[in-house]
Amino acid sequence: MAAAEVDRVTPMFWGLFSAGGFVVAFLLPVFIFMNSLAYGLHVVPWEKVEYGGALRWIRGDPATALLGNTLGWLGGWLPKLFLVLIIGGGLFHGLHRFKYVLYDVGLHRAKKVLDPILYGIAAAGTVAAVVLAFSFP
Amino acid sequence: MAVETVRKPYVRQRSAWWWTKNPRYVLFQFRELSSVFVVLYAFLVLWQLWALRGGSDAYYAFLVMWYSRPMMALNAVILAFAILHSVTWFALTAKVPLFRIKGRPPPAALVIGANLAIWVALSLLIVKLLYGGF
Repeated sequence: MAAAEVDRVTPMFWGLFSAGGFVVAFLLPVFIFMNSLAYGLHVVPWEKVEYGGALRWIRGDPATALLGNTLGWLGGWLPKLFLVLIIGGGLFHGLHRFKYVLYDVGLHRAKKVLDPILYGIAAAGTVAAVVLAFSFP
Repeated sequence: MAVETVRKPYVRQRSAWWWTKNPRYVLFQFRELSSVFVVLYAFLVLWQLWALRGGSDAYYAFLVMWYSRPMMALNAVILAFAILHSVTWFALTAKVPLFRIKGRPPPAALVIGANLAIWVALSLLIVKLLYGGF
């Protein structure tokens, strides 16, 4: 085999899997709790989850208030970056792992079809996350 | 004339439930299954953002669905799988030593403990910074 035929694609997806694994491990549980369960468990009031509260959250009002004058500009960026990290990291990590689950049940023969579909979904979802998250002020 | 040989490979029989035989395999399958729930949650959040873009009526309709009992139950299951993923991921990072102490890789308990401590601290920081506390 020629030396030029070095596989540079597979390691890249393993890298995204690994980076996504860290993001998901450290950031996802607290986000699921705050975003899906905290209100139902009476941990946060309705004002924080209703339409206005959700808009204030994605605008980064709590972070802006906490960071003060010098770092306040970061506040508006943090929730959006957070969402992109969780959605993009989750998709590239999860679909990579799911790919090997599908290989394990016998679909390894469909690699040529399966890989572009799964990584395509991950890429499309990440782009959608960037566009949607940053469409808010 | 050469004798024709017929290839007769041995195919080992394996039940679809092979992984139930050993608790380690059960944990492995559940960990791999967590990926499905992580992906599902990513799409649910995209849906949520889409609803939020749609204005107050669309978002209230979303919230009615979001805080219904079946959805709360699903989200609780997703959280359980996310926590399983976190804990197994921390255990996995202990197998890849990034540094050495006196020429030896750090003990697994130290790496896992440090990861858990960072996880808890980071989660509390996110609650404080992004959500302004409870």
